[in-house]
Amino acid sequence: MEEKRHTSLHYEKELQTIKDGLIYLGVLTEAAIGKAMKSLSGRDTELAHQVVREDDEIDRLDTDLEERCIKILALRQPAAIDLRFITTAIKITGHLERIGDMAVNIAEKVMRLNEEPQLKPYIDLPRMSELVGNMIRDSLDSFINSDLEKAEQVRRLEQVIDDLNEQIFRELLTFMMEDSKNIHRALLVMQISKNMERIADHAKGIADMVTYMVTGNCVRHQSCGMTT
Amino acid sequence: MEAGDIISVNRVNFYYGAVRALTDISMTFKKNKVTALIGPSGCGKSTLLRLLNRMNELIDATKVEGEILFEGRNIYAPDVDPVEIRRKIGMVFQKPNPFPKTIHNNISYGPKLTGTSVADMDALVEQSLKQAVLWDEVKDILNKSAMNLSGGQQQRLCIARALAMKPDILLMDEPTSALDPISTAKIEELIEELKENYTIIIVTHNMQQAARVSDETAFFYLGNLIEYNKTEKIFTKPDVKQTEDYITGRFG
Repeated sequence: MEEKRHTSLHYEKELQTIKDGLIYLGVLTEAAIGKAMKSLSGRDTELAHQVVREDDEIDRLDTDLEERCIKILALRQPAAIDLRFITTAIKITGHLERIGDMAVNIAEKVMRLNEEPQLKPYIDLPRMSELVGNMIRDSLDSFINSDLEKAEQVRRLEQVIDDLNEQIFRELLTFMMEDSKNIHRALLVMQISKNMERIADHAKGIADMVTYMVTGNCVRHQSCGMTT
Repeated sequence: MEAGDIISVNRVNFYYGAVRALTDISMTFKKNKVTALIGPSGCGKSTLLRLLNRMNELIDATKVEGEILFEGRNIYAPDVDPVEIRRKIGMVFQKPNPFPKTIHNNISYGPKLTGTSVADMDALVEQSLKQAVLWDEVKDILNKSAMNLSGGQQQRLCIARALAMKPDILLMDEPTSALDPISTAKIEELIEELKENYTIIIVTHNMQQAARVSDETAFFYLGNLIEYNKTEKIFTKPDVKQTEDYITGRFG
């Protein structure tokens, strides 16, 4: 979206509104994950409820952005970079909305965990949460600046998150084997970790769409690596 | 030229007086495909279209350099008859221009004028009108004046008139710019059907039309061919930034 401007300034403004909306949605989802994690480490059930309540705003924004994109498709018939921008924006808003839902899932698990004594000190999960937050921010930065290197960075981080999830899974397994009373809480923590891992998948999905937007090439699946 | 190519433009320059309208154009058009020529006014697209059947030489003080190969011969070679070229490479113009004659005579006029022997003129008229998807609308009024037809019908009549000469290539210079959306849709549908038997080269200012009807698209700017690519490629991920700027409406 850099360099030359559209002859129609209204069109230019409509595209900018979508860009701004996506950034705002990104900020909200990143905050939701941060709060969900804080509610876990701080055992703050009220904060977990707040995450659930605030998801309504994320859903509303997602619907609004999607409608704006569809309107542009219908009324402006975008081509080339504009077409790739709009299709990418539709996908990104979907990814962000799902990330919001994952934050809600985490918050709901936290509410249940907070009803019982803490199973263990959380070390890897806050680290995971921080990395995942960075991934969302970087994926959106790569979108705004058409930055392929940053998109690639997000893809690389996704593997780190996968490994962390595996590690947490194995550790929790030992807690479960030690004492069956731990199973319920360990399973809840495992689900939180799994949700984090899925958030990272969505951030990677955003990065993949950015690569498509900039290059026109699909990188989402190995099978589409050769498509132009 | 490769197999599947029908007409080839080689290093063509074209001048209106001292003004160069086309610069070193080389491109090949594929048989039975629709090729769209797009670009802003004055980019040379219509000039190139008219060069393909020697219509520009009807304008004074013009000069062509380079060659245009059709059926293995340079159509600008001294011994080539331009009338013969125009018979094989027909043209449909921006504004429908039927002759002030009956519908039947509009179709039969060309073959008669060029002395083409037609065993059954009525059959040729019917066939041409059917090919132009106009037959059902005019079969009962063939002896009425063509001037009574609607704009869209007149344009399809002009297409039928061109088809009656059994051309290999049909050149269309903004054929729907004077038509309403329904007539435009009919012409676009017709183009799709015609490409089975003809090669179509169309100049259009309507980029969505180029995207809808053509297989290949060439983008011209200030007399230069900027990009020539598959239409799908041009409208999703063109290779050249200048093309992208133009088709997304970034005119600077």
